[in-house]
Amino acid sequence: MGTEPLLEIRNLATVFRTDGGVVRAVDGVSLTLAPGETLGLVGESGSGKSVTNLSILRLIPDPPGRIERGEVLLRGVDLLKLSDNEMRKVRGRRVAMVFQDPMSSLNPFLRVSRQMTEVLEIHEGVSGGEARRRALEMLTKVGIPDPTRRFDDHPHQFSGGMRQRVMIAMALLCRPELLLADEPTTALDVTVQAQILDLIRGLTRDLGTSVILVTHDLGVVAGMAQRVAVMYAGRIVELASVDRLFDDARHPYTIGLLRSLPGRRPAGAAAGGRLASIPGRPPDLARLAEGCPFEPRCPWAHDRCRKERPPLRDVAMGQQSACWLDDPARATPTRPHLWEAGT
Amino acid sequence: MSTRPKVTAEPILSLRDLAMHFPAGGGGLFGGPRRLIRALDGVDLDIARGETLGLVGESGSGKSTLGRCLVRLYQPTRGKILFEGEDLAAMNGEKLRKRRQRLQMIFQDPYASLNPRMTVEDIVAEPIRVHRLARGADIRERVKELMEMVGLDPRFIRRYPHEFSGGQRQRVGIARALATQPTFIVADEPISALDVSIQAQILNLLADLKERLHLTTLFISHDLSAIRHVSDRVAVLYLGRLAEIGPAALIDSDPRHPYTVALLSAAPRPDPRAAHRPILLAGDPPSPLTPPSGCRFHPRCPLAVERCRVEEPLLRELEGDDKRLVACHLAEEVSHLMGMVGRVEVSGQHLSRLTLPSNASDVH
Repeated sequence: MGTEPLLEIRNLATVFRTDGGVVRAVDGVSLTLAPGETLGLVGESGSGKSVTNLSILRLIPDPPGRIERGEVLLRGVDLLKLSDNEMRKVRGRRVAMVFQDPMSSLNPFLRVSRQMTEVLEIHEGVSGGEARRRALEMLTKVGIPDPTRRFDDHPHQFSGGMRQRVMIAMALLCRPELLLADEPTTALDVTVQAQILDLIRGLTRDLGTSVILVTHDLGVVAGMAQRVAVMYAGRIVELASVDRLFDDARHPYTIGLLRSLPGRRPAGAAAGGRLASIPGRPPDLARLAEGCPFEPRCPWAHDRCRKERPPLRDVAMGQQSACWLDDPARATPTRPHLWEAGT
Repeated sequence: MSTRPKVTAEPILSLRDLAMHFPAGGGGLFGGPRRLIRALDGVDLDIARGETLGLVGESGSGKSTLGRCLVRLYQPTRGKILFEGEDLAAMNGEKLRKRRQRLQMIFQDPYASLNPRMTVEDIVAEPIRVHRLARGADIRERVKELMEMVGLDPRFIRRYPHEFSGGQRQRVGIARALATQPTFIVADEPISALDVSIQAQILNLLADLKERLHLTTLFISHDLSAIRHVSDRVAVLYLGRLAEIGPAALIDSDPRHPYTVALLSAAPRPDPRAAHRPILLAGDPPSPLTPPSGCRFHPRCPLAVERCRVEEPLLRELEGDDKRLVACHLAEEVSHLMGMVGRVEVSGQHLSRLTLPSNASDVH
């Protein structure tokens, strides 16, 4: 990569103490993000994708959680070493976050105008008419119709899609360098989701904001991201450009996910054809065995996979995979019927 | 499969002018006008024996209400539900209870729909007991058989729902639905609460069961790719009315209602090379409390003309196309017109509108 990365995560580990033992939610994640780049972080519930995002902003509830080790370098400065006071200046100003539920970042009791101008006052010392002008400008940018009239409304007076827009306006108010978006459109209707994704794409491009987009939806990733990191059991198992990932996935888990998607049914195929289905479920993160955590669900598993956990390594130009095989899809499976087995 | 006619000689289920209105406050202590949520507002539909009909729509479309009316969890406000020739809407008491064995429902959230204090055995046996389909030791045998049928290990018969994963819980819900040997299944968002790798397992299971038990299925979902995958025909619901219905492949490749076009273009496709220029509709789906005049879709429709504001389009056949029905005044020209839709910015929002100067007067 020619340019200096905006964000570099090195060997991040975040654990939670639970009754069932220590859950290694994020277990050695490393990745970099270039300025202006959108990275899709995909995985299933419990894969560690949301915890990775929360760890970047040090929003892990402690206890029960704790960032155990690693570095989160924002333009070379380790966020994990900042004082709480310094960290507050990073949050909302240089790194902003949007969630699935807009009410988790909006205060239900305060008018939108007050919440927005407050952000500008705290982070940039801008107040009064100038703050109002900038807040209104951002509301216009996110497509709130008649923003002057709606400015003094409370969040609940907006519809679901409009509330999502207000949250995005708040997040981008200080022109952050990095936007962490956690399933921002999962709760929305399809046509509203298209509007919001279009908005995030357009605004972050205009502002030059980098994005880490956490989602379970590979369709959303395909339309939004330049690169994709696939997480499984607390680690990145594949990292590639979006084209390579969809054309030539190299980790068995990614391959299985793509083959299980109903959207890729070839035109003209009969209804109800069988999809590849990955039997079983992700491992209990409090009881990780030795070896590759995907091994029990993998058609290409062999002896070594049961003993040693494969590291993330280069398998092709611009593509890394945490599998002992360079190209499993072209290798002979050891359990050829695993993904088509029964129901 | 795509050649199946829209009305077969023998539909197993037909809806005639089905409507379901819910009271929405007002008229009480503090007066105010009594208001109605018109969740379903006159739906006609035939489902052929053995087919899977996909019902797609967004929030407020009435798709779940329609499913719940079919299995008579709701008493519809008006209209008929003809199931194997008899009107379920006009039925009650013992007779309805008996018919209901034949229609069963699979719910979205298997956790919310299963009693957490009951074992799998109790959950699956309940309908068997209620309908007196087996007694004594036969009940347990039947439960085990059903568990095997849905891919659950019968040794787990004494376990509680929380001891299962989401996918397994959904299997318990399916076993329970199958306990009364139904011929018709309403599956309401059966995979939306599940993780991606688990969704395929459940879709495969439903396909197997359909084949084995000759089930007819109404598959309700907001997820177009799942709908496309499982359905023989697809029905698109918008604000309580059908916008379009026809063979899945035809609806997918040549939609004729502007809403269907928009919905298809908005659905994220797992293909980075697909054109990501969705048709951007104005605002959210409107409320079924106050459905717009004329065509319900007109305030969000990029093609709307004066007639659409005034006159509600009826579901109709198009010339030379007897497999599909569509409710749009402009259906004949939709493909042509949608090709001329471009993006305009209206107070910060990007919207798709007809970009022809000659149509400019219609647009606002």
